[in-house]
Amino acid sequence: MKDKYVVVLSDIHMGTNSPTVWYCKEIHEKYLLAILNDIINCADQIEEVILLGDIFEFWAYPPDALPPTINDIIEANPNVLGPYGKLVQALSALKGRMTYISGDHDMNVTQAELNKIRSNDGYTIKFHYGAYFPYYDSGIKFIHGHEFTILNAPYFASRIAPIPIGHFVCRAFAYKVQSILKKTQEESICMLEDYSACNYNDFLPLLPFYYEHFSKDTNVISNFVDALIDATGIPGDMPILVNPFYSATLYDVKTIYQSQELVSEKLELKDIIDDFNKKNFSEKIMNHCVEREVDTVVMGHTHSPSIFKNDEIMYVTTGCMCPSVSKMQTNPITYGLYNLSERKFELIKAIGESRVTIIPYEKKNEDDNQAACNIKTEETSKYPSKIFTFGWSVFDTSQEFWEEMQMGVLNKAKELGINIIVHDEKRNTIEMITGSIDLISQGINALIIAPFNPELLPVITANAEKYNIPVVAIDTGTGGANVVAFIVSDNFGGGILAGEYALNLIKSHGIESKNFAIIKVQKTAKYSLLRGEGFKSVLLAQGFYLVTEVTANSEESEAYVEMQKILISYGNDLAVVFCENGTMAIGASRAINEAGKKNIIMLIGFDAGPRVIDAIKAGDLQGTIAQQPYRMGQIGVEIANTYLLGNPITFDDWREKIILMEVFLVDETGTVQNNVT
Amino acid sequence: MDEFCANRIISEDYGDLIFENEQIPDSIKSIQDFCYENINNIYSVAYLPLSLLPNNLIQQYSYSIYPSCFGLMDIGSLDESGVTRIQSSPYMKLTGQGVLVGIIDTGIDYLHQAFKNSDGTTKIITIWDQTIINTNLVPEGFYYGSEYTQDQINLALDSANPLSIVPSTDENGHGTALAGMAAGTRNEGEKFSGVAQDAKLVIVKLKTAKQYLKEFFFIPSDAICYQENDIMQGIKYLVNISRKLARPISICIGLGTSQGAHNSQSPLSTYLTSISTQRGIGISIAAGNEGNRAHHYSGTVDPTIGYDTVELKVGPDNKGFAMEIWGQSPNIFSIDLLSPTGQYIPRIPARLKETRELNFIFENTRVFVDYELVEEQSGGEIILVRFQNPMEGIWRFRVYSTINIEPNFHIWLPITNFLTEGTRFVKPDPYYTLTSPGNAIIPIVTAAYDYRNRGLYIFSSRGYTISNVVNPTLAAAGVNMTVPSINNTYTSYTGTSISAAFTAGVVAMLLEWGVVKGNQSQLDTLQIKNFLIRGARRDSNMVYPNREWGYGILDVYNAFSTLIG
Repeated sequence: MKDKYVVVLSDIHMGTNSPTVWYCKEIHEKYLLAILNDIINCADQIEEVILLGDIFEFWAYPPDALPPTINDIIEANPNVLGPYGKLVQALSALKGRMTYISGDHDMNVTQAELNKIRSNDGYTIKFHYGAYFPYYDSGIKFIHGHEFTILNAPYFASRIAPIPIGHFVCRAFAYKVQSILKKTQEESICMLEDYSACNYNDFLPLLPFYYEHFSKDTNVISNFVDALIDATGIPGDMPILVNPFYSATLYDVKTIYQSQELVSEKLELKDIIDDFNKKNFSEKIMNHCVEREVDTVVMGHTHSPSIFKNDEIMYVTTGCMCPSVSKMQTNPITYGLYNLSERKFELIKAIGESRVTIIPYEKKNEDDNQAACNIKTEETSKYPSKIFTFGWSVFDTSQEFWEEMQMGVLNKAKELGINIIVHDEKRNTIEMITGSIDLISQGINALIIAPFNPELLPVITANAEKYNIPVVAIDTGTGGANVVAFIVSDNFGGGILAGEYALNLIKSHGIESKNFAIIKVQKTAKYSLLRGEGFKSVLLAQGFYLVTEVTANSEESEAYVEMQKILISYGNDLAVVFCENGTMAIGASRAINEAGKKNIIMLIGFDAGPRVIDAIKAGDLQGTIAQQPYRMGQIGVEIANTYLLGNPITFDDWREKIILMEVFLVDETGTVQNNVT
Repeated sequence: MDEFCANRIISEDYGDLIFENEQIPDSIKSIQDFCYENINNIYSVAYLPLSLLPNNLIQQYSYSIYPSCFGLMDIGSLDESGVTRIQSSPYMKLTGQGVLVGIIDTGIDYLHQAFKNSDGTTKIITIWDQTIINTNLVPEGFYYGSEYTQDQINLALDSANPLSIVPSTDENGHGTALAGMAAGTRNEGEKFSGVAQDAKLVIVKLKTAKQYLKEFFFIPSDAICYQENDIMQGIKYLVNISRKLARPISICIGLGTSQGAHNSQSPLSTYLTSISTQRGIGISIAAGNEGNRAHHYSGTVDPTIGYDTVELKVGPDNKGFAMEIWGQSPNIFSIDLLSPTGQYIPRIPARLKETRELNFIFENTRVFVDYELVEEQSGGEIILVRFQNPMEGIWRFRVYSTINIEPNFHIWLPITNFLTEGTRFVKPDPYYTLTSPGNAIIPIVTAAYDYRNRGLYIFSSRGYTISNVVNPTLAAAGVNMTVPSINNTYTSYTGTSISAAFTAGVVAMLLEWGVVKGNQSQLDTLQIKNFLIRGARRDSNMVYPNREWGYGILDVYNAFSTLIG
């Protein structure tokens, strides 16, 4: 039994990428995507992912900017929130085990809005208001934490409830940031040196100075707003757009937040200062926790990662995921990982590709807020590395071509340490579908398939999509299915190679006829038909004349009959015949032999199975194009692995996700011509 | 940067790789012995032991990390017949007084009378000779070469054995010719006159490209060839001197390469563009001499056929060359290859992340093919095809395209100096033949013409840049021009680097008028270029701008009249 985990992400502050927003797509997105990738890869070990507030940023915008809607934020972050975004993929991989607890900067989020982020298979994020006590562990509680502050706790006694005064503090900050950006010519808040996401005081160092100089008799809120105006430079009469129907100036704010319900007793200046220094934070939480008899409480909000114990209760704050560039070292991107089985909470720091467990500075006394930002790194521990298992569904291993491909699959998998479950379709459509779906239900990580009936591959990929299993198709086609990659021989290039070789043969055999014919495969074999196209284009360009182009449906007997017909009409004036596969070439060779035209009319095939090679050695045909089934099988495994690891795949045609496999000529002596290394 | 690292700049055992600042990948940093230098505000050069470099550098890190190799934009000296003196009267008494002319090239014959003032002292402010190793003389802010000051040169001029004091020479004469054309002292007897005679010279003598680069690109061993990063260092040096002396500078670049996408995004072009909006800097660049060489092919893949067939005639005794195929995204191009004797290599897939080596047994030829689907600087696809020992005759290849959204592509052979004679496309395209950095956006890019008959120099490279920026800017005199040569002689030169030097002289005069005399103290390359474009002489029978002449013929008098008017 593997350990189960809960992953806690908080304080991402993802907004519309405007310069005043802490989360900068260019800087923070790659970390977030990497973390989400880990979640996807280990989804079956994750009991739940908890989004612990301030995930979205609705506050940190300048006064004259209307705060965005969730639609704006989704649109601005397609790689995370879009229909194919990583969060949506994670939601699907977790089969919906994701809960959202709002913080202060995203307190307006509702279930209806979260429903806009929906996975393809219909999962949405569950919304939870306030403190969250999960069903799987009775001793733990999750809460964002702004509830314990004075400035950012929801404020209900106003017409813009629940927006607290903290919203306006944030807007005034944004105003100041905007003017600093203008002066420093930096692109966004994350590039500013003096700023860290750790502490507001970094940003408003003068604020406490103001408090101390206010007389005790005057109104606290009024004084605070005046201090804010002084510290940020925002004009007190500047309208701040709150929603499309309402704006307020900071002078208005003074009157909005006068209700004593803000706190139970009279608000003192000291309270606000303490709030800024996060002094009373833990004390208040403690009172809150004792009531519910939990032993662990997990919060976000502070942006400083910490774990400390007090009276048998463990308090965790998860830190943040949007530090500014200059503070990345001291305030890294952090998130929480809770081992359910051992009931152990760890904080993880994301550095590039690696995840490092951190031991936060033990808080000795609460005044030591700054020190909490300094983090000691202990051992490196990655997520438990995973052994992949791939399904391999193959056309028919009784044929040499497919057997070789299977060897390629198995050997490459062995080399990469991947398990393979094999299924043989035995040239049967029903076998192909049921067998492949059976593989999918066995919990494979990827399916590699050489489909007997590619037209029905979409049935299989639709099934695989439900389980988020990538499908790589090899050789026969995709039927338009949504595959990760399609590996196929370079049929067009092979046709051209056959054409170039035909020109050589015509020259070396001293043939004077300018006529040629092509025996084609069935109309549905989209890719094999390119062989004739390539061949034709070479001969036409050299002034040859295509006398006839017939189909023999890949059958030997049909090719025999068609060749007979061609010989009756053009037998005495025909330079070369090209067959789009090997079986047909053998049929055609029989007709040519019987007509006594062996070695007089040149015959070239495609595929280099043993019968074709024997026929070449017997002089019945003058050459064929060899494919590389073994390499195709190898590449199939490689590509599926690359995809699962989240690495990019390069295609020869990115629209159809085609990966072309080189082909070679087998000449009239039966020798493979390969001068490429 | 420590001394240890500095030694690698000149060591043949270390390769130079160009990266954008702060963009050096960890996999490079982790290579043992890694060290690097930020060479300007945009680029860094990493120095790594050649033995430890992976061999799929292009696929792993992009083609642009290889420093391009630049050759001289001239066909060498011609006979001295029929040379007349170029118009030398200093308009408005402008002679380049107070202005620097910077030349980055093969060096200078500082003993030549063309570089002496009337009192016998030198016109040269400094020489940075990148080839002379002397740790005591390394210029400030750099890590190699030796710097010689005006005082040292004057001392040398007075000495019986000047080279014992300032051992810097010009073995080739190209740099001497350019410096002379732009700012050389008049010699009535030889019918020679530099353009801005009172300008002072700042000279950078480049070190030659490292052997591994020449070998990689199959550049003939006797070809004179310089590395992109050394040229960038040279420019930085010139700008530093200009700042230090608080004097404006007119920089002349008479070098070029056919490597790269022929847009403005090569590191050198980007750097030149970035400094050309700084006040007091004027930049003139040779357009190149590739116009009628049949070294360029352009084609479009017909989607109904699926490929375009290209024929390349390889001349006799060709030891090797590198050919670049550039295609626009989102198309994906790939190639096959047919040798003169009929050996055929089928299409090589485009997605490969490794070098493909094609062996032609009968021809005894090897061909190396590298693909990069989205090249870092240009965003386009590059196919680098390197021929080793190619057999004489017609090599035919198809260029395939899979996506077919305007699937056009260009192929460039190396510049004439890097290619043995007789190698050419059977159906060439004379346009889009500007050499880099002549594709840079802001600098003044000069074609060459014969001022006697107003005919364009036949090999003058033709525009536009691949992104259809109008280059060349204009044509300047550059055919059979009398110039100083080594050993205190005079000779006659033809080529676009001479027209660039001529233009650099004119630019020096403009800088004197604007910055030194205070008529327009913010003058930068862009403004100068616009003055010159405005004043350019145009033939009423021609449409301007055009690919051969740009906006017309450089007309100094007219340019100055527009200044006054």
